[in-house]
Amino acid sequence: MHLKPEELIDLAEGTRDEASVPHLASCERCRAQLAELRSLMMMATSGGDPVPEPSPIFWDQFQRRVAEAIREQEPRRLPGFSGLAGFGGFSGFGFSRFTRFAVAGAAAIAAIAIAVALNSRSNRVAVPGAPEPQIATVAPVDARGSHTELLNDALAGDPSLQLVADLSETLDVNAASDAGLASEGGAEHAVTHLSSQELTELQRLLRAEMRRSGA
Amino acid sequence: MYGADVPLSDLDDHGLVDACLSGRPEAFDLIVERHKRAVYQLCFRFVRNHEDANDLSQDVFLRAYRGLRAFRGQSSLTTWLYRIGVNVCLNRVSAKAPLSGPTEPIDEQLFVDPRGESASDRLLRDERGARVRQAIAQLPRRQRATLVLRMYHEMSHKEIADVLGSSVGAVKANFFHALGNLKKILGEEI
Repeated sequence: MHLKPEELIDLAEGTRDEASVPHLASCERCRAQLAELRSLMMMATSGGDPVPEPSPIFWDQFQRRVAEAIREQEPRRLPGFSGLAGFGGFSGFGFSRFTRFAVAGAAAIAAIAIAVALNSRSNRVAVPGAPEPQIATVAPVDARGSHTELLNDALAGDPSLQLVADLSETLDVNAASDAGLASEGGAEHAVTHLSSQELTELQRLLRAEMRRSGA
Repeated sequence: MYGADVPLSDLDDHGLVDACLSGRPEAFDLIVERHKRAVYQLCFRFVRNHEDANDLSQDVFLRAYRGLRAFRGQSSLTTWLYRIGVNVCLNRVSAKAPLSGPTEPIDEQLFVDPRGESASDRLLRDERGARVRQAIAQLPRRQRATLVLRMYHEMSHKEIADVLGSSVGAVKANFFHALGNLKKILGEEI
């Protein structure tokens, strides 16, 4: 009776002593099979099966993606879970808060974009024969003023400003934060976390600065 | 059991599962943190590319989360995650054509040979390794899973039996036949 596969595996892996299997000494076929198994095991492991290590950024993103996927697909699956509001480092970071940040951030960026565009135009070198560029008029905005109106007025006369506005409109604040563009303590982070009152004040300062520089 | 005031980082895997089921979902974050690398490596070994391994790894944790109540703690959480991982991977690879093309290149800098192997020797070893991996990809599903878990994840036969839901004897038999089939596939290359 030849050795069973399980016995041969135990012998090949060394978890069973050859001396405890008298049959082996008298059976050339089983000895050959054992030698072949050992050779195959060595071959399978000698090349190894290395798995390339992903970047640290990947692992950071991985954890977040899992948390987001669970939050999207299984919001209240497990009893006792508070809708995963606190899952994956999202504690206290509900959608409404995110929305507020996104809107405030987009508005602030739009305001800055207008200021930058107006300033850049004030510094343009005049090209003989070129049509006089239209200067967008920035309507005064009170504390309750609409950022959208301000933006639309400014956009009316300048395609390049439209580009900036489009970019700010489609800006994914969360993605920017993920990419480390709005790290806490950074200027971008500060802008995207302004309250509406702070935004109004920022606009006022920007307008004052533009007046001072003659923009 | 654990107290609600116990820091999650002090809990073992079973404690984290209990915490998660008891209303501390952030405990699952730690589970992911602890096991993501092993799960990713398992998935990579089945699909051999980063994108699919990434997708599958996320799927494994999603399924684990959904089925967390089914985890009875009789096996380790690692074994349970591997079980999910093997099922997810085998379903994916069986839905795709067998791997026949070149596998994803390995960044040589990540795997410096400490024995000072020559460049030609290393090239030869890498080529042989690639052929072996392609041969493993052609094995029947359970044989493939058994061989991968045994040879590359260094799991015991008992752990593999838990992952695959079979007996230790069946795992050893599977392993034996996997090696035999590997030899047939590789033919005279070995």
